[in-house]
Amino acid sequence: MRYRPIQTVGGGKGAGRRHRQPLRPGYRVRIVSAYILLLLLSLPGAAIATPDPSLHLTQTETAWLEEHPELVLAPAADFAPYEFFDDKDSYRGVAADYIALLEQRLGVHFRIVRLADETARLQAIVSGDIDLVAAVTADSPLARAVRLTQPHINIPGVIVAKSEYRNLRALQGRRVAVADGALHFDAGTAPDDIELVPVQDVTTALELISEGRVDALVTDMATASYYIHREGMTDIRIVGKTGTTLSLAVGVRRDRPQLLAIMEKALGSITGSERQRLARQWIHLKEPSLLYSRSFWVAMLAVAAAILLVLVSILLWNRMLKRQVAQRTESLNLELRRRHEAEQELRDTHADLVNSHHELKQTQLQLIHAAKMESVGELAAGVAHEVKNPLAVIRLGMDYIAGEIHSDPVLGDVLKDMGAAVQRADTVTNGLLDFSREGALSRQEACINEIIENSLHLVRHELVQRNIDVVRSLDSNLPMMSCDANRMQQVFVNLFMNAIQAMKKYGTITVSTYQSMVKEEHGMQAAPGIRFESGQPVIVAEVCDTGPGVPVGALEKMFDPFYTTKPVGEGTGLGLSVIRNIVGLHRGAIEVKNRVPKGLSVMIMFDNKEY
Amino acid sequence: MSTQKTKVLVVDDEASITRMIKLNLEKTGDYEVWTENEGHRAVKAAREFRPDIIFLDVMMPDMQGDRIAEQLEEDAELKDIKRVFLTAIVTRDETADGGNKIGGNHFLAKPVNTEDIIRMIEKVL
Repeated sequence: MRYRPIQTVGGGKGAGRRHRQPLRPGYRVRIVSAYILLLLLSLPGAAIATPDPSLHLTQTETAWLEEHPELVLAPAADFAPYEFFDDKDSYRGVAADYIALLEQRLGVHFRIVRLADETARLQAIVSGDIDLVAAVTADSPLARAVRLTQPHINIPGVIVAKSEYRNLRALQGRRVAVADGALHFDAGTAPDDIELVPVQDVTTALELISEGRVDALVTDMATASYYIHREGMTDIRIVGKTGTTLSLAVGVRRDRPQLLAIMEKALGSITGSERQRLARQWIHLKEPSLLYSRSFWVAMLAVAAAILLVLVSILLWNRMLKRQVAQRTESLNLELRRRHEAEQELRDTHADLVNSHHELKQTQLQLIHAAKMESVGELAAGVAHEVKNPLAVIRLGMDYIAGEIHSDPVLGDVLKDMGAAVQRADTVTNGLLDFSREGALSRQEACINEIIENSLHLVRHELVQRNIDVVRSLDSNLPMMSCDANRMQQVFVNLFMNAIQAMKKYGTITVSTYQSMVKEEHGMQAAPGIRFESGQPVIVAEVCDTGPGVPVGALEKMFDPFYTTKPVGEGTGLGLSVIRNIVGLHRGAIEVKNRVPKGLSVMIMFDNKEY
Repeated sequence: MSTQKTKVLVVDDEASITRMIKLNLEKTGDYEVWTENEGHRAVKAAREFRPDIIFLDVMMPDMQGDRIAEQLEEDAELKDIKRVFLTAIVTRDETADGGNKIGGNHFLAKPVNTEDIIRMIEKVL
């Protein structure tokens, strides 16, 4: 505030808490007690007259203080809360507290005198009746009469209004009271459009506010705090700052330059926390809540925006990462699938290769076999030609001789033996031819049981001659088979002859037919390229004898051409190999096993297409 | 020799066989037998001899029996002469069924005996 008219506040009945107002009676006791208090406060300092060494006063200054142990101070009578006299006539206020502190620091006594008004104070300081004033604004009339220290009290200007106004903007178009000589708005701080209403003082302004005649008041924070608190106006609060500051300095008589310097030093020694402590005693109002500050909200908004931005960025980044992870995962999965497929393909290819290899092997075997058979065929044809022509000569020769011997019994026997020999040689040659001949079959639907019966009929003489029994166990439900009946008959005749020759005399041939399934491939003899698998349905014809069987090592060789266990002259060694060839032409297989306790079992299996 | 005798031409590269067949057949008195051991002379022999039946060995070194058969077939005067092949390669079992025929031709499998030959002649003529 630039200046304010002095108003008389409080009554004259009480004494100052620390300083007696000497112009009035009845204050002595109080002054004494104040001295005692000051003494106590100064402890453990030895003497009141000693200034605080931390002030670094010059010798001249110290000397000056010693010469002037009492200094006279005239406060403004009613400049609450900075300085005023309370109802006990005590000097009180922010400035009073500063003065008390300075008294302590400097070790001097400030004598407080109460003057009627500003004019009196001005005259007193000009005339030298008082030494200093404690709280002067730089632009007050008093300021021109004194030398001012640096302002020691700096209080921000504020706008107070009823609590319904939350911020300065809310005051737009409202009436704002400005106490006479008080702070004004700083340029640019005032809301647009407000109507400024000059009032006499802060109390008046507050009254007008409570009456609703004005909406707000411009003042400083300490003043606002003091009066609002004093008037108990709880619904008034600070809504903003003016941007200006109320600055109060100590004013010293112009002819006391030493005192000015001393005061400057003493004020300078008051620390920030001391200043804060002093201010707190007088300023109860809080600064406008940040919640009502626009800049706060702008700042909050900025921070929130920044946080949001960061969050959004993180979120976006996260999503981007997620997408990248998803893409990577997807591509990895794809790769995995591709690899699986490739692996599967490899496996398939491998399986194909294994199959192809197997087929190739089979084909190779077939080719080798075919090549063998071709050469065997040529050989057989050659042998047959070379053997059969001489045999023809012998036979025809024997025919001629037979007509010439005229029933000579001995010559007759000789011719008979020769005939048998020729027959045997012819049989061997025929066997060779049969073996080599893999030619086309003359197929027709036939029943194996019937072929077996025919074959048994062909060997009946041998069976009877050697007392061999035949046991039949033929499946009457056996399906018809597409086969070459003649070649098949050759097979069974050979099997029966083998069995008969193995048993020699007395024995049993068991011949059975049935439908079954392949139990295991092992032990089955099939022509190259023919495969039977476990579980495959088959038609089986089995011929068992009660002969001596076959030595274990011989079982495998049995199918080799010219292999025979029979005595020389009895077997051609072509029987089983011819059988196997014929069976092979019918895509069948043979299994030969020794029986327990004795005998041989030959099983012939054909694919059963009926299933 | 009587003209009622059946005239038989035997063509086989093996002279002992032709000789044996000739001996055995002529001994019966029913046949007049010519023999020829050179395949390429078979057609000429047939033209000269005019047989009722010709026995032809299939495998001969200079000319195969089937080739001779073709030439006989092409000759208008000789084509009606009955032909029977003699072979060592076809077994007796194979010729036994279906009237000793393979591919429409009569066959006899070596080693033949006289009885087989006579039966074949009687069957064919």
